[in-house]
Amino acid sequence: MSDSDDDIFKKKKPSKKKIEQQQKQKQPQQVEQQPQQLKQELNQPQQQLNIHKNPKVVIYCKVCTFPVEFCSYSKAPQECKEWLKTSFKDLYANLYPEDLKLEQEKQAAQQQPQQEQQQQQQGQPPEKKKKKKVKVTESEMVYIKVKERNRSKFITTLTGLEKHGLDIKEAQKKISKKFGCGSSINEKGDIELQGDLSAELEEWLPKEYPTIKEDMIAIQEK
Amino acid sequence: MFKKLEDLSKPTLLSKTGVKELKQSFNDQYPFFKEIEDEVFPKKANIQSFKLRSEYKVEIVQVDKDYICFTKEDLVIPHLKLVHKFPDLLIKQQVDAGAIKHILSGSDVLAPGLISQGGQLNPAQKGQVVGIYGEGKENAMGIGIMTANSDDIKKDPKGHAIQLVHHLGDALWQLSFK
Ligand SMILES: [Zn+2]
Repeated sequence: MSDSDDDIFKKKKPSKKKIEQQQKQKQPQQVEQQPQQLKQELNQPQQQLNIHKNPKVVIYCKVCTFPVEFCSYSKAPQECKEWLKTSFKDLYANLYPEDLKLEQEKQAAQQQPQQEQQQQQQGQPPEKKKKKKVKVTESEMVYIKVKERNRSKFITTLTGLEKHGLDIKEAQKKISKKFGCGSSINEKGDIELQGDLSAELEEWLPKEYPTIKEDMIAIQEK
Repeated sequence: MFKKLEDLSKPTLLSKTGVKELKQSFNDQYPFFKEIEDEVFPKKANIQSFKLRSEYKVEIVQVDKDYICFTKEDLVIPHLKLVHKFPDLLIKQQVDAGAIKHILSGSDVLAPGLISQGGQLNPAQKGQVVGIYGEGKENAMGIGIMTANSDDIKKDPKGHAIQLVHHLGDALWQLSFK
């Protein structure tokens, strides 16, 4: 081995170490930055907390071209409604809850003899709920809260999913897609959904997430 | 502003400098833009612009098939569809439910509509481009330019507050469905 070879060897080694040192130095800096960022985020108004960097998908009406929530201002709102009903049923149910209720009532009236209907109205709870009275603890409960925002518009708040080990963001996305509704996560980490989705969620949650049993869901209407 | 677009010029391809300048104005006006820059202007996109013969200072920009924005004097103003995709791009101002139909027919935003119970006035400076929302609605219905500082509007809620430059149903909106 010549001297020069040795030299190169010597020179190389420290340089590797240097790089490692540099990397080590960098890491703590990054760690320091994070809490600062967090602090900043916390100080910002609620609006900025859920920033949407991914493009939001808005459904435009085939009839009037508006986002469907503005169809009532179009020149042919009835036509818009018909289109929405056939194209996006969930969205239609969400936007025109009164219409859907009317339709359901009509159907119910047609299908059931009047006597049966009266019995139900007199407050006999459906059998399903009676037989499944297993004890449910608070640590399993999922709450659906419906709040009227203005006249016929509602906000549905969903809390308690984390008790079932669910990723709130993923669940939010799934629900948004499934029911075609706008959604956000509020400052408490609850999912907020546009429209009254209580009935839909009550049915869908146990199917989608089997650890959530029907009895663990409470609807709180306001 | 966009009542008729019949006098639209033929499209011209935007030069590299033109695109650079456009992005720069976006960045100057909208801090959020840097987050979405590559999404709005993909690297290999075909970026064209049109001029209006009646208002020769207004230029409409198209990226591939989507209408993205228009320029008015020194301002670059996003197309409503871009604001629907990225609502955080603009400061949000909300009018009460009663004012929605007026905005959709092209009226400017008056101060009382922002101050009343269903409205919401967020801090903004005179001359700033803002998104116009309606009580109970999720998506923007218009885009306008503040004609006064929000503080002054709060102090004296009378008269015009936001000049409407683009709204659902106007010619620029319709253009994007052709
Ligand atoms: Zn419509």
